[in-house]
Amino acid sequence: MGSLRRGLPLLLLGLLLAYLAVVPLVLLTLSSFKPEGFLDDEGWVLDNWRAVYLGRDLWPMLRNTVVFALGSTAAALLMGTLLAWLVERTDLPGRGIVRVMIVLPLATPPLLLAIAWVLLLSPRTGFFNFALMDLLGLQTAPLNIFSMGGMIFVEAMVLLPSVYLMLAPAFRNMDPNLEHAAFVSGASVWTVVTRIVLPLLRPAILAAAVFMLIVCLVVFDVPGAIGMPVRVFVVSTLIYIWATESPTGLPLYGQVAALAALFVVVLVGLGVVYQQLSLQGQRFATVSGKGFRPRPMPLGRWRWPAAAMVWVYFFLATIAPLAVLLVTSLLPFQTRITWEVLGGLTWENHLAFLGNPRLVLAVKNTAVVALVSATAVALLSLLVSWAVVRSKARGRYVLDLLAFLPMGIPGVMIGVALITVYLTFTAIPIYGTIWILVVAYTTTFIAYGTRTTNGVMLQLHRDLEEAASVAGAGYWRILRRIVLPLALPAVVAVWVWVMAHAARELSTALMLHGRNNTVISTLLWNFWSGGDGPRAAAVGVWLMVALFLLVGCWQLLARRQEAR
Amino acid sequence: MNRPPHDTLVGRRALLGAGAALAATPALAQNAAMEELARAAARESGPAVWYESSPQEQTDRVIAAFNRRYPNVRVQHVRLVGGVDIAARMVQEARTPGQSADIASVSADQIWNLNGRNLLAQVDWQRLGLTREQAPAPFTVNIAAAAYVIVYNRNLVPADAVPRGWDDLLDPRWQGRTGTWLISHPFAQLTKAWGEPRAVEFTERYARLNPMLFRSTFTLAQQIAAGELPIGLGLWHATQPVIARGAPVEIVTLDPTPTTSIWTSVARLAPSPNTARLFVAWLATAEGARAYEDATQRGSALIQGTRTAEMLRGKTVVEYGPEETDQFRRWLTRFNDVLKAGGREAG
Repeated sequence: MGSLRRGLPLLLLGLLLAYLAVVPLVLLTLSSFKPEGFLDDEGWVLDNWRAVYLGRDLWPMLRNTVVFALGSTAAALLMGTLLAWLVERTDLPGRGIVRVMIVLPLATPPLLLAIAWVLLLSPRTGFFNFALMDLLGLQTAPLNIFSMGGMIFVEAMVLLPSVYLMLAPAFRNMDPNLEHAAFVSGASVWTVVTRIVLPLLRPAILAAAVFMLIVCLVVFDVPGAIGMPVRVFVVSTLIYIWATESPTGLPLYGQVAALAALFVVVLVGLGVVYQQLSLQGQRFATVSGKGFRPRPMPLGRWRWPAAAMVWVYFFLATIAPLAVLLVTSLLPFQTRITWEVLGGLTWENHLAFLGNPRLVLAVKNTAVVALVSATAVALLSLLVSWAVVRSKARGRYVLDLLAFLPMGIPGVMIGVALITVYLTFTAIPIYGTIWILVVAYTTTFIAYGTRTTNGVMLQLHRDLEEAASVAGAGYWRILRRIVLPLALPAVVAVWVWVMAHAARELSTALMLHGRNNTVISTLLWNFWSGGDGPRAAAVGVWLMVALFLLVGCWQLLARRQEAR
Repeated sequence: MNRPPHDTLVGRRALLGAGAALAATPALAQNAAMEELARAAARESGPAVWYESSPQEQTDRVIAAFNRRYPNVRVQHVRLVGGVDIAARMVQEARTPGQSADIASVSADQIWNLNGRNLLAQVDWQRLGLTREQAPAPFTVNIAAAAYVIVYNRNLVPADAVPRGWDDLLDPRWQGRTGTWLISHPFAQLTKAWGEPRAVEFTERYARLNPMLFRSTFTLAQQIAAGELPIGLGLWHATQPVIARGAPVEIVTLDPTPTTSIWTSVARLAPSPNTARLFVAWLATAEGARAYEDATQRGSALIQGTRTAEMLRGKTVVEYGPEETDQFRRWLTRFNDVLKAGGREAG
């Protein structure tokens, strides 16, 4: 009876995750064996698998996809780790503002960010290209965003804030005594970073790497806006064409599902590797019963060069694209930015957005969806990570895998699965409402949440919880009084990340768009797809303002917390 | 619960009355049928849900015009991404009676698919005043068409290079400087006017110019307005927003003109079938067609007085109809490959 009571929370958590992850996966599998991919189709076939894996489209695109995914992940990981270390562990000047600036691009829908970079680096109208041609006296544009390199660059910019948010809490939780001991023993900065810091952060870095790799397999915004026009096709291009522009007149869900099986296999493989490498969790525990106060590592003569590098990064990653989007939002139509066009700026796009009759409803819906999804993902992530890292139950790694699985399912198929589920189980009347979006985002973003909280949970030494347990504290008390306060930076980071992503997310919102669930991103899409790029940019600017306030408040609270 | 076929929904007596009137004076009978339908529609509890891919700011204006004519009848537009998405949603919703949309506006191949799955209501549209051209089959109505045109930036195309027809699109000076939609709809439609060899050759030659391929013709128009490309093959209505905002963009109409018609149908399981039929029939009237064209820039080539009909006057309009879907799909698949491969394969 006692063991049942102890195992009950784990069981309930498992059931909830199974509902979120396994239902779409089962529907996905069934769909791949149906003639046109709809569950009501008659008969079972292997045609979709044959069309995908014996067809001529997949393999060349897979090569591009691997280059794109590895390149983007490596670039984002390298810069994200460096920035997280500089901001969280060193005496870099202006760290408070830097923290806010790094996560600011989270508010920008990737589609708009890609458009911003087209405006900056396209060969015939790119602002930077013209500036460089003027400066260097060149006849042709030196840079071309429409290339694999351009795709990797922009995707790395999209991913970087997520890498930072995944790694920053882990850096923050590291006991500085280890580094100080190394310095006292005469170790150089390089030695400390490569022999102490990076090995200790291995679970968090690995989690971020695995997460980003999978994201790059399924992401379409950047490849669609930058690669597709010049025929740099990746696997997600195939998914896009099959799902929305199929020559049959109906989406080829069966083929999308068969292709998704490849993602799920890759994901499970990476997930198992990740678990194997994280098994010896105690090796990474740096937060123990011994108290420590974070002390920033002095950068010495590298302090200002590091600051300069960080600000150059800000200029490229944040200021330049945001500025170009802001200017575009003030133009009557999308055009090359010159001194002449700056003379004709207008507020009309912003007024059109602010005067939209659906704005109030869309803002309310977006706020509810983002708040509820973020809170659900943050709480679930904490519970799942705690169970996975602390529990000794046999099935605990299944929990971790369940939380990770939805990442490998293309968003379009999660949408299809949810539509099918809630059209079938009408007792849960959420079809066409904002709540189906909440379920979709919780399912999709739980993978990010658990990657982040797992990394931090591995750093917490068992002795704190064991001491509490010996003193008579129960599970919930230990969770509330010990685990939650220590993991709070990571939980809050997850909450902010999900808030931002749920607020800007477009493809699932469009897929599940119904009678009563218009959100801000669908308003943005209304403008964009109706030929009003500048008005879409205006929506993007307001989204960024909202997130800037959110992130600003978060940082303010975090600083107060640190000061106590 | 199984629903009765739609023609029994208005009431047998009303239809008999309308039928008798039809025998006497057709126009009067059609008006009477529409008025009776409007009364039945006003009694329906919910709004008719209309799946269509235009922005809601545009369809609001269409519905407002409809409500000026029929103030007590409610229609709610739900915007889905495109025709494929709409067709998929209709298929999925069919599993749950009561959840279905009432009206779907999609292209010929999608409407053919939906009818093949028995998801569309069979309606006697002629009784409501529609011509055979507008409603060639009982399951659908042609309400408007999107026409393909050459789009160019007048600041980037010199006077001696201003295009006049299809062949000018193949000018070598546009090598790497032209663009079109990723999906080869206009090229596939050309086979109907030119036959296979010429359409294939044209598409391959165009593809060898290495055109940029866009997800949407709206994006293409924006890129031409921005100056990234001097010229492209786009859609008339997708170019109107940038022209309206003062971009230096011009349009050249083509002969033959490929079009993609918007076919609109009532769902077999429509919760508000009378409202749905009334709305579709109204869209096919001169008033409805003008309202739809004013809002979405896509008008009916079948109704005199619309800008689209004016633009296409004297031109050969080419498009595969719903019943030719299988043939059209084969061309589309083949020409999509040609565009994607930059003209290297013709299948």
